[in-house]
Amino acid sequence: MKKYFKLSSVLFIVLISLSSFTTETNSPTNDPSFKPMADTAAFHAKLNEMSKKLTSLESDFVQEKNLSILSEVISSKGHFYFKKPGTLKWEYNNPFTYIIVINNGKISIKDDGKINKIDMSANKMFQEINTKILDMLQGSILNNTTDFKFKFFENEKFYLIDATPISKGMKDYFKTINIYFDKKDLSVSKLKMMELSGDYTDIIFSNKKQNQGISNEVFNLK
Amino acid sequence: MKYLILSSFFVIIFSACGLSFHSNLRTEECRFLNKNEVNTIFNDGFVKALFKTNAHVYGKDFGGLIFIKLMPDNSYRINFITEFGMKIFDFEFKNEKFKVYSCLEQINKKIIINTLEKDFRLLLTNQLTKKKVKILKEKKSNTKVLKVKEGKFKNYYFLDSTNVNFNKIESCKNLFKKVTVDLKEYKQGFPKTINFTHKNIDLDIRLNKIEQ
Repeated sequence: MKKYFKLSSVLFIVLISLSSFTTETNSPTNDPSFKPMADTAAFHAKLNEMSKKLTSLESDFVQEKNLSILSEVISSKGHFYFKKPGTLKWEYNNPFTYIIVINNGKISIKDDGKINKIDMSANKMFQEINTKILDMLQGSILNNTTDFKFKFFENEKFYLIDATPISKGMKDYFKTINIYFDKKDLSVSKLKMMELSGDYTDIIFSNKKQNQGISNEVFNLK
Repeated sequence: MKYLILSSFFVIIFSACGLSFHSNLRTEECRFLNKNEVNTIFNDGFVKALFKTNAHVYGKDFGGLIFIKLMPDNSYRINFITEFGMKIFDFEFKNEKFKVYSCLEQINKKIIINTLEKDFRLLLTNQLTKKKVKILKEKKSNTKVLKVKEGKFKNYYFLDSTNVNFNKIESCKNLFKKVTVDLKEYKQGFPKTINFTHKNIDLDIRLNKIEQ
């Protein structure tokens, strides 16, 4: 189940391709600068264009887990890699080391110095998630409105997609997921995953490198 | 010969079941502990701690972070989250009361929850400072062992050569050892590693403190 959640989290990174066009007047954030998106069709077209051109993405990230009742934030940092058609790597390096790689239908996790490999073909749930990831990367998920309901916002710097899970599993855990796209290059700048409990997790991406190539060796865990 | 075979059989059986013998301990006295006589770790001056955590539960491996915080009402909250930030469980210990705020369906089984509660009670809300404890000494090393009864359990807190810090805790029921907690690498009065090893169920937890 933990791995399911991890994979679910990975899914949100590649939500770049997702859309379903509805316009809401209430911003999902407390930031009043966000207004309903003026031209969702143009955003859709730009996103599709970016998605077609995207071959690889690499960036630093900061993850902040907000435990609302405890008034605590647990921060971690690392590096993120994505390479088409469907290879992902999350590498946490501070304050702990932990790596997860999804490559050729297999999930590899390096934790506590040990590497665990999971074959997704042996697990229906992982298989389904992997299919979704690939659908997203290839754009065929664009019409998938069975798993999420979307709302669209923007301010001067960002496009914001507010994704509300409607399929079983995710909706039992997440209230909503906000995806912030930088208006300059349509890369994902921030993810905000809000749980039903009131806790939320922010992942902020920086030093982004698009289409600069990533060696396959990066995805081999040793 | 028959006697030898029978003896060997019992030794093997008892060892496998984690039978708890403490014949190497002699009772010294039974009294209340003095203030600061031992380092109770999660009591005096404790505010919060974050641990990198690896748990092995009935053949499945879970990894993540455990965060423990002493709340203003003197209750403890324990949150176990994955590295990605998804919550696995959220427990509260308030004196004798225990509350589950949330728990991932896969591990939300009575036996696991009860075991986790007992495990963390050994550290968080033990009776060491609240009632008389039996002070024992190991015959060879002369190091102290504190014995305290909590319900049906007899808990043994083994002190290291400093006679202040615990390096091992054993919880026993009806002569059988249920769980051993190893505490190592103390730094400023706090252990860097805390490992729970169970004898009768497939559940082991390793905590490694993260300096924030």
